[in-house]
Amino acid sequence: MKKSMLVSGLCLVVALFGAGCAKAEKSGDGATDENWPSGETMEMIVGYSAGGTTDTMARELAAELEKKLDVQIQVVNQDGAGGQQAYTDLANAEPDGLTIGTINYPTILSTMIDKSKGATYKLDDFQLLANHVNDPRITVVQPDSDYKNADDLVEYAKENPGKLRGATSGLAGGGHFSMLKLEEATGADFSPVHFDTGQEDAKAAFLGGHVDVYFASVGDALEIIESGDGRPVGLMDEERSDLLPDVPTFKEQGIDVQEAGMRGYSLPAGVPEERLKILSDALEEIITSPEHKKALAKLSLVPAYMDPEEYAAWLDEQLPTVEKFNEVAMEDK
Amino acid sequence: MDAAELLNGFATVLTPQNLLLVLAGCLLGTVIGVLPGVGPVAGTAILIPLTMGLDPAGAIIMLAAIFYGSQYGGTITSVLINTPGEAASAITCIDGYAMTKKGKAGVALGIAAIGSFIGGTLATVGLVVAAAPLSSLGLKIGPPEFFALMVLGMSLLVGLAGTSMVRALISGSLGLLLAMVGTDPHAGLPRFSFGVVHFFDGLEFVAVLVGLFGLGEILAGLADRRQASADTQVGRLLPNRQELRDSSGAIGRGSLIGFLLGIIPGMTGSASSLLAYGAERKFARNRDQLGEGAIEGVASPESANNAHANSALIPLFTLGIPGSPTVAVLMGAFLMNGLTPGPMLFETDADIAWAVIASLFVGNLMCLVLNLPLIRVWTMLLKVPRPLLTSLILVFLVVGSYSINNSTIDVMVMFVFGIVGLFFRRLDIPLAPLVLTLILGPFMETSLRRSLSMSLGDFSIFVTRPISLTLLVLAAVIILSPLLRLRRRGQDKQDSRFDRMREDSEV
Repeated sequence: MKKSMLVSGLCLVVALFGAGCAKAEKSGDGATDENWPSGETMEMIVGYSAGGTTDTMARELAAELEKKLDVQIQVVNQDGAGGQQAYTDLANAEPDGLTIGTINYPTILSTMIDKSKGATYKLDDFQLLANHVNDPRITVVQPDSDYKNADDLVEYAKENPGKLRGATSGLAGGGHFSMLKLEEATGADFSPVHFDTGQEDAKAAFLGGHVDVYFASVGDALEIIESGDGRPVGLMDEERSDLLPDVPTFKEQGIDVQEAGMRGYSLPAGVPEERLKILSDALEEIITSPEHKKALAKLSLVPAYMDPEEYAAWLDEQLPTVEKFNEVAMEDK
Repeated sequence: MDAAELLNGFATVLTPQNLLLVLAGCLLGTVIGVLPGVGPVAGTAILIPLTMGLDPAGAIIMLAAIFYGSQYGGTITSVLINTPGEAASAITCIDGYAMTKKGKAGVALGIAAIGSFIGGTLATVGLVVAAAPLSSLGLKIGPPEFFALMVLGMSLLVGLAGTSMVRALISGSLGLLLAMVGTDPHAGLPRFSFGVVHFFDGLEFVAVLVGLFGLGEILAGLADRRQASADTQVGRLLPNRQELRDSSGAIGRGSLIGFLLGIIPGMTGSASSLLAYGAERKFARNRDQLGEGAIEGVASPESANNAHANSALIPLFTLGIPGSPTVAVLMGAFLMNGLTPGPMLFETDADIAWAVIASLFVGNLMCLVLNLPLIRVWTMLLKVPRPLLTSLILVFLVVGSYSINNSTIDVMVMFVFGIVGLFFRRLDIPLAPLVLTLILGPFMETSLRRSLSMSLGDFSIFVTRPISLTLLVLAAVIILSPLLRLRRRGQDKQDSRFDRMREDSEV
């Protein structure tokens, strides 16, 4: 026991020193394709910082993928510019199937649309692999407020335009989009307060009573809903969430708004067909398994598998909406 | 809170396996702290997968140890080679390195370890005794209070001025200007980024600090053709009675500041250590010596960042909100182990929560015991011949700044600010104001703009909220007090013109 601890301790130190400088050596060329990618080292580019929802989700999947494909996966957190850094790196990566990256909706689209960001990639530069989770948006109000349901909230926000302050996770992000969609669908008017430094700051401001409404995702808000520190008035999805079966959707309440936090994976465009198939089959098996669903529930997430074609089509479909709301968001400062 | 449960927690920690995990965590944390670039955030994240095989309590105990261990380690390079190992120890460079030059490296590291231990332990006591009421206090600090707190922090510039107010303002304004680089938090548009995506998130301030302090010092040394500018004498490790008396107040103040700021979500350890250092300008016994190797300048920020590291766990445990980026990584580790930090934690997994708390006491003690003898090892660095040491540090600086984001742009930033650092030294411009404004600037901007979003553009939000008003009044007193003192003196006796000019420049 003691010895193995010591050895693993030493390994840790070595790993630490190596981690900064070592980039996985890729030996993609000479591998015999029948066993591919067995024994290879893969890289998973995560566009958000370690410990966040996207990161924990990706690491959970990477661990299962390692077992399934007999590979080593290095998770690289390339957080920067709201995911743009990571998307750029992914689009420019060698298309040998050994580099995978996380894709977050809506940032994958909004970074492309916003010309001031100067993004160098288009949707065509990616070979989408699979959608992993659906983390729908949810609207939460203070527990001691008078708004019991979506109608109460919307009614008040219509009669008192701009009076209710809503916390979002940043300008033109998913939370802001969900606020704008609710405004468009109902004529309500909220004043956004953007917490671009992170979801956690938005949550803290809500818990401290500094804002009235919290435009969160289920994953962000599950804890405070369960503890009674926030009251959900509506979910922005087709159906109720397995994690919150008692919370009605907006649609049930007669307001048709949907905003999903879709998170998945992609390869750079140009990966050979057979490699794509191996990877996408492996991901499908993992994501649709009941054990994986349980593992994700611990992270307050629900799996929502889409295959490469479905995923690409879904993103394509969102493009005009994101384009529209991105414009609205920039005007609504 | 329940003493029996805490004792249970100790029972969990005091098993051979968990003790070893704490030890491994403290050691690794120290190493992470020493490496510039690999800060606690990246370091903890890298090591998460290695704890996957452990049981949840063991995994989290170890990761927490890595986290506070890194706060001990960060000081070492600050003191010995004037290069901050991580951002929270940047301000320690100023007096820590000055102490090394005076041959008091041992005492500087000794007092840093002792201060860190006291700060960490006091904060943990606070966590045990009053976690719940304190966390709701932390939540009262909304954007307007946050802004007022930042104004208070900036007002300490007056104290950091050194010999010339003008030079301090040059340095402070440059810091603010550099803090503007990045994406406008409200309009979403890139500012001063010159189209480089890497700068959309602002300048990487660890790279800036490593350049200003570390490389700047090397360049200045070369330009002066100084031979062995640093005294190779290491001196005693334990502070003598006089030094203890001087630093006890500083440790107390630092611990309190770090503890209080740690419970505010969104505040980082580097802000804590800066404010603690600034407070020493007002309260330290040797405040005139501050900046030239006063022991308070090491004791206070180092106590503050450790107190901060431990009290930052309060909002995590009680609210499920990680107060700083490193705690966010720790939260990820909780989630991966099937634990949800937050109000339910003490009901669903009380045994693990208390084991982690107990491990903080054990771990802080272990870090102290571990670090005191290690000081001799680290200080052997100073015995390396100068040309060799300089080249070693250069390698260290380049690798360190590269590894922050795996980006060569940060290496270039480091070099550019090395040259800036050289000019600062040549022109006798103090570095402290730049560090202060560079780190606090973004906080100040986002909290100002959020406050104005909250109030729909009405500035009265800052004076109608009691906490914010109090902090702003305090800041006004700090800024105005030297001016008032000057006036009173002018009335008391007619100073010679020369004296008055000197007074002026000392403000």
